[in-house]
Amino acid sequence: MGLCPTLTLLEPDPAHYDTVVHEMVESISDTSPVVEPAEHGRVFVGMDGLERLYGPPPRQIRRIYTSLLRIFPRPLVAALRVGMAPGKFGAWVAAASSSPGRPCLVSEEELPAFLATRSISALPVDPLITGRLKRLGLETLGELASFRESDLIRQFGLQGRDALAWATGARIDPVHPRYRPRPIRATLDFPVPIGQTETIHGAIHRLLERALARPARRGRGVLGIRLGAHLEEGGSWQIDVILKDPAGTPDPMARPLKAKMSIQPPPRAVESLFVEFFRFGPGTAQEALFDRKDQNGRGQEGRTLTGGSIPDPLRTAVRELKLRIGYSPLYRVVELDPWSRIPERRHALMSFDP
Amino acid sequence: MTSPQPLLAEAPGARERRESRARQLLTLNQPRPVRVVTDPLGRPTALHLRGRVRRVDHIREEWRIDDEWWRTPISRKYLRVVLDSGRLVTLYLDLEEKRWYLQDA
Repeated sequence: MGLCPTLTLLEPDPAHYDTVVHEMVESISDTSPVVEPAEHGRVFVGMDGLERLYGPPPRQIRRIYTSLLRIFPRPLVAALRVGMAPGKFGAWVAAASSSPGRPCLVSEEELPAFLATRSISALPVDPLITGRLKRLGLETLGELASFRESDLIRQFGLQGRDALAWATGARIDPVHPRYRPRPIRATLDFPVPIGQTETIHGAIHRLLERALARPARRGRGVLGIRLGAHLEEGGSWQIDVILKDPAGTPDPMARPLKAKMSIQPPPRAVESLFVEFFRFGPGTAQEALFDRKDQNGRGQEGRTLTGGSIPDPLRTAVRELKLRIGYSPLYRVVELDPWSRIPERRHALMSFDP
Repeated sequence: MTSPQPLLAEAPGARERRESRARQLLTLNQPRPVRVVTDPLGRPTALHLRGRVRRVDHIREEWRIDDEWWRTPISRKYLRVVLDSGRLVTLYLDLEEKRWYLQDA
């Protein structure tokens, strides 16, 4: 700041960035139904089959520009870099090679020759692999393409094969249209900004319960949760958590949210807090089979059946299955001789009939 | 008191067969026979997998098991190979039967 007194520091505003990207994707979706946002600032658009509707590729690109001009100022749209090629990798390399306002168009016939002159840094593989390739003296994708596939697999495993397929233009990875389930959101406004962690934790629980109770959530487990806040004196804060298994109760959702919040807390007091479910999985009825309740009705940790007691929901489910089909069709994996040198002697399936 | 009848109709004897199977202990990871093409030194060069011939790119690991010589001897030469598709496969040569099998190890 001392060196540059006129410097203005802007607070990050992730909620605003998300809104802008959402608006951009919505706007482009008017032109093509196949839109795949990759990360903030990078969007892939599938244009296959749209020639008769919009004309040749330059006119298709112009149409994208026009739709973006409806929501963004002209200088921002003019700064975009646009590339068009078969497959996402080719299009991304083309966009990286273009300059603002001058789209780079590569046809399918030109793709191998176009890629051959580009740097191997463009490869979407582990940076350690591109680092090793550079140390071996390889600079361009064309040099990489001169190697045999088996040699690259031997050196780099499956990523070596992928790298060769991309470098030669043999892999045309299609644009996957995003599946966008309608998010479920619950918001809580505080009368005065709050900064105490305990109060925020209590609010998270209330918000999770409210969001879980929404009719739109029924029958689905929650996989992706966003916790966000509008901060005192402007700006916003948010964290995302992806759960390993779909959850249908507040506790398994609140734990990772609080853990992540302790690492990345809100920088200032919070004026309003929201919880948003943005990714869903199958319903959690199967998990409920392994719920154990103690005498006070509280849940106990763990889903293992080796403790001796069989959870009541599971016992009931097996009884119903036996009633329907006459026997228990469930099995459990048991250890026979887990350290045996002979692989088929280590584990077995045993009928499960509690 | 009679036991409740199953609600779904099924072929005669099917229920007994499934019940009997359910009572058995089913071992996991049983070896599966596989056709293997070898070179003159007996090293695998190609496998027949699901009706397709897969070339062996290279052998990654090799070990041997000799056990139970006091009853039915078990003698196997295991190989972990990389196929031309990049897939990693474990197979063994049963040195008693002189036959190849696929098995996760």
